Amino acid sequence: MPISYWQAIVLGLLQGFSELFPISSLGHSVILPQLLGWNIHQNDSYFITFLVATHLATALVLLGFFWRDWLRILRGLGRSLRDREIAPDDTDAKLGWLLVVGTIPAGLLGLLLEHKLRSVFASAQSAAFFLMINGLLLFAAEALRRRAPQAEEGDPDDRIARRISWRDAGGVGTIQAAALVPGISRSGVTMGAGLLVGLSNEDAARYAFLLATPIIGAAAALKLPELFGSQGNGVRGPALVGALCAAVTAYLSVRFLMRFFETNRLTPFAAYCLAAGLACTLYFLV
Amino acid sequence: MPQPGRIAFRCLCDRRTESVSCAVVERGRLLVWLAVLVGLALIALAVVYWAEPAKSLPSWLPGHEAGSNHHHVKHGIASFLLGLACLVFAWFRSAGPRPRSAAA
Repeated sequence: MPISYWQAIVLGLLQGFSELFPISSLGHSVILPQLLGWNIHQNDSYFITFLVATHLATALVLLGFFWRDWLRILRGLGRSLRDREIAPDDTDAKLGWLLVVGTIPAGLLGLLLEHKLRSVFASAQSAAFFLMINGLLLFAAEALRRRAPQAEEGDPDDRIARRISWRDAGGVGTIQAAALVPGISRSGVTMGAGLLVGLSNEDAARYAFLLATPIIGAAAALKLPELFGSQGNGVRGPALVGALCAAVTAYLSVRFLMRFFETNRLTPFAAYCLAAGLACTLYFLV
Repeated sequence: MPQPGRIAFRCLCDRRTESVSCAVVERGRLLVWLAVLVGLALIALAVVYWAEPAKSLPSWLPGHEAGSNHHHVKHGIASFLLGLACLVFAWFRSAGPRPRSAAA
């Protein structure tokens, strides 16, 4: 069996929480097997199949966690399409179209570049290096943020819809594509970009999770046939176990992070990424 | 507050700025037609990507590969999404004038 159940549990738990914490799940999925001496490489077809299952679980958890929001957003999108305008006071419609505008460039870049970038940056060494870069990016986002860190009142969706322009939405969405490089965190760069366009930490985290759901879900759905096809032979059992573990940690992570960012900043994650990236880079060099 | 894209259409009733409005409306219409054409072309391109193997794609298209039977499904999805986005843009952009509410 290419992935044992024990490895599936460890990688599933890791994937679930590192996908939502701004610390790069892909980077950790590349570095950890190397550190533990496991013969698992990110471009192995069975490992990609395994990742599909864990990503799908994460996307479903995100969808479930924010299901009321998604329902409102979808209704808002429908309303605006029917009326052929986004009413100025229709927060749900505005937020929905901001998410669409953000998802299109990320989706396009992901579709066109994913395979190439995965091939180029496949090694654990490069993942460790980019984990350091991720830490620096998070530090920079906190340093250059437009809004002082403070608790805010009112509806978060309303704040997001008011503060993000269409251009900002495109920019924040596009920067998600940086997460195709193992070591760069999707939620990290999205939250960082959210801070730069004037969101608070809480709103940036919320926007990042909403923005991540369609991308992670679509990426997983696109590769779902591989899980049920011949590539999934021998890996479906561990993939299911890994997916369940990922679902549990993803749920706990999103609950924790939504509270954490009400009063806290990206700085601890930046410090972790910098330290872990540096330590792993030195370890792989020696 | 009206959106910038709408201003052109709403100005139609204003006789004092009629000539300016007409020019802006014409530009708006042109943009709508352009978006529709590009949108339809991209959706047609998506169908080509899904239906034809890489070897049968025109050589100027990204993804053309002599002798390859691979279908560029992802290219097709990307093209389809872009086409859909163009059509949605045209849908919003071509909305006619709306009665302003009393509060506005």
